[in-house]
Amino acid sequence: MRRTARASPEAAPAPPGGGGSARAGVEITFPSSSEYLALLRCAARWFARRCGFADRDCGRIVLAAVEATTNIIRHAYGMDAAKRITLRMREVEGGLELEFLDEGKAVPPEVFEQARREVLKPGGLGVRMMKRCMDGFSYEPRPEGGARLILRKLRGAGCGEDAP
Amino acid sequence: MTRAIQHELFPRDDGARIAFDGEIDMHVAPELRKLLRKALEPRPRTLVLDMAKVPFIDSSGIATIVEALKLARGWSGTVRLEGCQDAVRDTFDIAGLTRLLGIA
Repeated sequence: MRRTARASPEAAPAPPGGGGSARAGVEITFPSSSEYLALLRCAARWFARRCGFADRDCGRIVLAAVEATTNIIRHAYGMDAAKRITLRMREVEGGLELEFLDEGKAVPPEVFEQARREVLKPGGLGVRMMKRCMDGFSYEPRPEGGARLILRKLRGAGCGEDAP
Repeated sequence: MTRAIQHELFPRDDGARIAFDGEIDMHVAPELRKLLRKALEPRPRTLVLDMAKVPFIDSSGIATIVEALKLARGWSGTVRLEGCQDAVRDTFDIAGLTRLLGIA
């Protein structure tokens, strides 16, 4: 199977029941292979800069995007590189939102709490870093299968979670 | 679209220094693990990782380096990071591992 990434400059739809004041955004769909992390970094950095974030926050947004994608590849898809991941990036009031959609196995919410306590176990460090980089974190299984993860970053808000 | 981790190995009196060039993420972490294990085979007192040309590292890369440090501590050795760029230093701050890895 030939794997390709697809980008759409149209307005990314707001998540159901959330957002409200979402503005123009970008949607990209790419294969669930770690090869595409470099592409993801370029896209996330470009969008963060476009939304007016300073260099340090751009770096944190990129890091959170990589950690979110890595978790999907590892946990939702069990390292199966033939699946798809969709990332919707949109500017919202005071910052930006990254919405990740997968079609894999949903992760029980308690895993995120466990990761918070066991930071050096597989996956634990990544979840902790993702939360610390961003200001909002929302994860839910989708009725049609898979899951939706939304990360929000506000301009000038500092670190998401308290320092370790 | 295969990426490899670019590196150079330099001997030191007390061990070795590896200079990396490129981004370190989940894609190159398995190769990084092999490389660090090989560099630690002679049980050096110090393994220095020169990060001056590394603009990005994620939790997969960090976990691999922490694993190497734990291995080296088995013979009272150490793994130390030098020359970290601001973005990489910020990532280690976020991970809460700046002191553990001796990042100045």
